[in-house]
Amino acid sequence: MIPFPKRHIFLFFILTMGVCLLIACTPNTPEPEAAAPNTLATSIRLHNWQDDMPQAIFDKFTEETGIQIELITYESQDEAIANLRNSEIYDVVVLNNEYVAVAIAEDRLMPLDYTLLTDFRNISPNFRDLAYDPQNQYSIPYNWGTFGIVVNPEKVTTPITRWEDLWNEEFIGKLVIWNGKRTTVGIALKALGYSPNTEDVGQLAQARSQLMALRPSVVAFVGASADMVTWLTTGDGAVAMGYVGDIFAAQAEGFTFDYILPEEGTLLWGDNFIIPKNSPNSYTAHVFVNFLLQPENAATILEYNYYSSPNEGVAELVSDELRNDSLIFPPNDVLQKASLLLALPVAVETRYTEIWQSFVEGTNP
Amino acid sequence: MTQVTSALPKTTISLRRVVTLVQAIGFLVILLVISLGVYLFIFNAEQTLWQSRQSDFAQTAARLVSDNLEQSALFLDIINELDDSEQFASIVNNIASKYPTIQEVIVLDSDANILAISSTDAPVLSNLFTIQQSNWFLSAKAGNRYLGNLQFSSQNTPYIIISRPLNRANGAIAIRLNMEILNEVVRGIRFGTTGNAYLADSDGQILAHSDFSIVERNTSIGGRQELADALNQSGVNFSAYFNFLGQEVIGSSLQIAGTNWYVFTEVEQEEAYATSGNALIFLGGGLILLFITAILFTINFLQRLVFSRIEKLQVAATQVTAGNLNVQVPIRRMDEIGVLTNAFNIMTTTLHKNTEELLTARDEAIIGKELAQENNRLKSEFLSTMSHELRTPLNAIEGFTGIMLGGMGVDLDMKAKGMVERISTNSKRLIDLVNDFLDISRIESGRMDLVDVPFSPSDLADKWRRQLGVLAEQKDLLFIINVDPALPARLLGDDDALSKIGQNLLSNAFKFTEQGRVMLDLKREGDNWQIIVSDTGIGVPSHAHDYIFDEFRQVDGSSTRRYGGTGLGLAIVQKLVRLMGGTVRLESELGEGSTFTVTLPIKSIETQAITGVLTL
Repeated sequence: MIPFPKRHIFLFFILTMGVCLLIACTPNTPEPEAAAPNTLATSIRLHNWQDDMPQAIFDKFTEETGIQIELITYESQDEAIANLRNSEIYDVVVLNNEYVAVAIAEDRLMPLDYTLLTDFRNISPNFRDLAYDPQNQYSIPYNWGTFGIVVNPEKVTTPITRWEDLWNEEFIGKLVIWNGKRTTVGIALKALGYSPNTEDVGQLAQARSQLMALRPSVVAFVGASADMVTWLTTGDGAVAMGYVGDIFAAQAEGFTFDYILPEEGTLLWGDNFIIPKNSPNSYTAHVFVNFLLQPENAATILEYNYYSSPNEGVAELVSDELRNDSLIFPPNDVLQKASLLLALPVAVETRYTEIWQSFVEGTNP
Repeated sequence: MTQVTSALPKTTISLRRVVTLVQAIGFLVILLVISLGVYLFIFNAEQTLWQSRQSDFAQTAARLVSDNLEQSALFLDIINELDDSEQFASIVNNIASKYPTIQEVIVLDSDANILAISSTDAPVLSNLFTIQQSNWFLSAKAGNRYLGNLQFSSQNTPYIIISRPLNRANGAIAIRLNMEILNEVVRGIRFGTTGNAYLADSDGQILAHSDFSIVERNTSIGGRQELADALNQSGVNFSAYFNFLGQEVIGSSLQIAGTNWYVFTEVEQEEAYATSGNALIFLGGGLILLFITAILFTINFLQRLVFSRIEKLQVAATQVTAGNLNVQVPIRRMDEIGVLTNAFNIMTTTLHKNTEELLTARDEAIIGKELAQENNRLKSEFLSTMSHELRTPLNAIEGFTGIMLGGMGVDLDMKAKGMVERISTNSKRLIDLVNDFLDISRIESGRMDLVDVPFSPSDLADKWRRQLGVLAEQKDLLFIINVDPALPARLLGDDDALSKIGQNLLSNAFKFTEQGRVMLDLKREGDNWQIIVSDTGIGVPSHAHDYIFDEFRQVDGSSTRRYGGTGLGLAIVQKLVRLMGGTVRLESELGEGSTFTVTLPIKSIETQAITGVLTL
């Protein structure tokens, strides 16, 4: 056998390189660009009502994730939207339906990433894909509630089942009304069988007449539950257009009021979580919102603020007492024909304002 | 043999290596081109095959999904066509039960009052108290068809709401579509081992996937390239990419007609390109084996055909160089190398023969030379002995004739005295002759030992003037002596030999000069010194220059008788000069005179010192 020349090793090396070249010729799949890593922030800013969420829920979140919640409270939805318009920095804001629509229209909200919001499935179909936010692209339902007739049973004996009943002569000088343009005009429309969000000029004209007819009944316009309770107990008032919260306020003072959801359909309000477009920690904000979507956390909140939750998993987690409380868990049948208050075009909104002002002043223009 | 080979220059550029390299590269290029071609062919064929398979599956999947949707749409249209009647609700219920994908139907008038409902599970739509604000109702009421996005119930059941206007009541017909059935449909679409399909909407949300947990996790391919490609292209779109699960796949996408839904089919590249991958391995392996075999075969072939024969020639040539001429290289075949080998064999044979002859001649010559040397030595020894033996009786004759001529012992008359004088003269000549013979033979027999002693050149010149000045006076010749002042004051030399040289040359000069002058120059010539004797005598004919220094040679035979002398003088001069490491040169013109120049190396340890003094 011939001794193997050293150069052959070199040749085999070339050969191997050639084979490698062949392999290298195979089509190369473009490597995916590494997505920006989602890193958790150390703290996020929540903009919400005062006394809406218990500290325990923040503590639990901090314990689970190490993320601190910085709560910045507001007094009204107007204040919240104003802060958003001023480009204040928040990561999660609680906004009600009407303002969600406004903020969407003003392009202030971040589209939500549902891959991070897998617990959205706990939200009742009742609150999914509603008119103010198609496909829930920007908002997650948080709280909701009804608007109904608050009755002091000690002063009223005739049964009340409809909005219409408030127009009875019996209640002249006995009706207490919240300072609320959309709710008041909306109730007039509901009493007429119309949508509380109508843009129909004729329906609005009828609503104005309807309201003017109600004007003699009004004894007071109130801005707080405590005032209403006072008017209904020690004042001249006997019935009111009010919220579930008013009943709880009365209970706190030792009074038991009745709460009636009228047959024409109630008005619904809803609060939602949104993530502002300028949130610097949107990933962490998603994590927080998804945390709040978990039934046990929603239940903790409900047990604190008594607002109805759109979370379907809550009912079986709360105490029997709460679960059986029809104020917190209103039965479905009484909610049929309920209407959400929706944002209106500016021109229509102006018309509502005019009606409301006429009503408050008690004069026809 | 090894030793001899190593003595030869090593080849710096091996022919074998060059040939091997060239053919290896050639092979390699050819094999690479062939295998690349074959590989690419297989690869393309495979790619085309998978593309057509994927295209088929994508279309199948799209059709299946589309069929489901169309059925639902058809159902909605049928309900829309139904007249208002007492049996409306039961008819709806009846038809709905025939569509397995439809879980719930709700028919509403413009105020969201329920006209008909039907459901196969817990109702969802019928229980809603927000229908009037729901987009599926508002869209239908506004006269549009609605296809909602994927929803999960709190029990993780996926569904989609589809609605259309109910024309007669300006209301809406909505169905809740069971997406689990679509998942089943998609799960059924499998090809190969890893080929599968999934469904996503234009936002990237995955609506159906063979792995339900992917759907359940709200997985989205929003922002991914495959989605962007699907959105931008019409028809089936192919590409290779890393899918959302990080698998390297080739995939296709196709929009489902009338929806913003896209079906994606994907197969892992490892499977898709398995054949060409295997082909590559076999081709690569085969290629390497073929390459090695080809290289080894050709090396072996070339070795036997060319290189081993060249090596044999080389070894033979090495042996020839080492002196072994009796070498014959066997001729295997009469090709070019065979012819060369034959020529080599003829060459060595010829060389061998010639060398044998030369060696014989050389041996003979050596023997002859040794014989001649011995003869010469014997001759000289004989001459020496002879001369010595001759001189003894001659000295006696000389002695007695001297006594007789001195008038001691006997009285001689004039006639007898004249005869005795002739005896004396001739015996003196005979003694001179014998002395010269003695010198010659001593030199030739190698018994002449020179002894270097210090002497003064000017003293030497004086000595010669004293000894030979008488000859100048006898013939009335001018005797000029020059001593070069550049000569060292003292030189080393054999006094006796120098005297013989000077005496012989000067006596010759006086002998052959009738008038004019004889000149003696002692001068320095570089590292040598010279004794130059020139005369204005008869000169030496040019033909005699060659043999003038041989023993017993004068210019012609007559000169001996005419000028006297033994004819050995110049021979002695030359031998002595050679013995002293010098040369003797003759310049002569016939009738003009002769000049003998003896050049001797300066031998003086004091030379430098004296030169130094002079320089000072």
